[in-house]
Amino acid sequence: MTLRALQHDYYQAMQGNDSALKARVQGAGDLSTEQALAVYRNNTEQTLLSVLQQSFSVCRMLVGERCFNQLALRYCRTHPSSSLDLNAYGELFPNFIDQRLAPGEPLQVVPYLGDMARLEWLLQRAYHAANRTGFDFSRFARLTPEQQPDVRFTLAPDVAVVAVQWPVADIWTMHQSDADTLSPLLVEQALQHVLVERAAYRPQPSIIDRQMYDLVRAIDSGRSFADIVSLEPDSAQKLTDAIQRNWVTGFYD
Amino acid sequence: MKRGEQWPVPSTIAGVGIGLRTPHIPEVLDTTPAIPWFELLADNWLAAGGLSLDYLHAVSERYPLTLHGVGLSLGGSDPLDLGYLANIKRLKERCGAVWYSEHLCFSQFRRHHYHDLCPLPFTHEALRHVIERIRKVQDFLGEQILIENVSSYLRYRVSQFGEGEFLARVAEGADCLLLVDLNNLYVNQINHGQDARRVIDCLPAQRVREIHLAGYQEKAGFLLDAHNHPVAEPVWWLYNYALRRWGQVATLIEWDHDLPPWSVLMGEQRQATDYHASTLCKHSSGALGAELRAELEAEQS
Repeated sequence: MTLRALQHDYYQAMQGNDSALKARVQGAGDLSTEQALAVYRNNTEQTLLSVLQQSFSVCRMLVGERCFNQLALRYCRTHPSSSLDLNAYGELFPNFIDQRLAPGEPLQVVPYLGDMARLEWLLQRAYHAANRTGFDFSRFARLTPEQQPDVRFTLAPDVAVVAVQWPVADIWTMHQSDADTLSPLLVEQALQHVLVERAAYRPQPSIIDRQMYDLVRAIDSGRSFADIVSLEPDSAQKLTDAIQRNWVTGFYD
Repeated sequence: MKRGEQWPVPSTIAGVGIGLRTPHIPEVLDTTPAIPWFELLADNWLAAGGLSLDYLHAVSERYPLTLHGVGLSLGGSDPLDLGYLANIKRLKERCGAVWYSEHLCFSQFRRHHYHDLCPLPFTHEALRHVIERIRKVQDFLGEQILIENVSSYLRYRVSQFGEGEFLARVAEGADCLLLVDLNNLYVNQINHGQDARRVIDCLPAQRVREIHLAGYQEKAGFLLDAHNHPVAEPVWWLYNYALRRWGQVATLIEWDHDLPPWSVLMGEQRQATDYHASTLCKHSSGALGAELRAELEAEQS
């Protein structure tokens, strides 16, 4: 039996099918082989659960510890970690929640939970993002009139925008107290455009208008300077604002 | 690097350090306690920016550091992740860490990451496999690394070596150094009925550069390597045994879960330092040294 074949059987056992590996191992101490394999499955699950608890802390407050853990463990069991970087785990958790918000599902009482997870994912991403560099105005000034229209801009590594159907930026801010749990809120559905950035180590959301949202999205998708300033009548002013706020930190030809 | 050539040996570090976890960093930076060195969990310090980068800079300015990894999957059958290793190399250069250590285990299969230290079978094939991979890592980093033994909750029926012999053969074959986790050895002693002292006896003393001390958790019918308790009495006893055999070896207090107040870790560090000092004292005394040697020989027989 090769090492690779043994590790394949181990992988199957971690997915819940331990029939092949059982005959090849023996449990420690008084543990049966099933119990020993369960220790390893549990180690991985608890690690991933802990990551989700930290990354989606407001979601956890909104639905309570028990409900959150049930939801998160179901996610962990169906979404193995595909990255060495634990901070990358949970990217699909907002979509996973969305699928459980339909009428008749227990989570329908918190219809904004998926949007909150979407926001929290961007916040945790901002926390670990690279530090910003300043916009090089002098290099930009040296561009010729022929070069300028084709220039593309780059966002600060921590900056991201999201359009959500519920006012989750406000709900998130309300939950930044010391309280461990808060009751689900009765809130009205309302479209919000939110920008996430990190200031003084702390990621935070702020509400922006639709024009700024469109501009940041256009920059993020690699649209040219000429395209961007033609989006709206005041796009050139919005771009100036974004650069002054250091949301835009670079450009390339 | 071809066989027969030597990778540069990392510089040395001495005394009893502590595994530094983020919640304790503000207190450490405020009070700068007299700890000779800290160990960082490399995987927690790979973020590109933010608070952790500034903490890294601040801690590395004040203390010697070592790096300890959990993600390399040295015993895995997927290809080595050279991108990850490049990040480790960059981190090591950034913080000036004295050495980098990893575990003798596997932690992924087909890019599914367990984020756990899964045990290897002690077979000839596994031995060849890990030796080759450790040599590749040392080529990539341009220096020797330290390999740590892991605790386990299962053993493979196909194993052909005992744990001590396997570790010793890995160290010799890969020309690497060893980090011996005494808590893991004790956990395996209870879990698998192997005598931890016999494992210690098997290991090449000249390659042992670091010892880890941590706390286990008693579960129904086995010990869990939980790193959430003080160092247990039998592990202190093993520490005493190991120091007498190996002499002064840099030692680390490791506590990863349910973190206690910083003062508790300082207490553990002081206790280990006392053991360290008393061993130094005995080794420096001719009469006591002879007595110890006789005692060890008696234990061996």
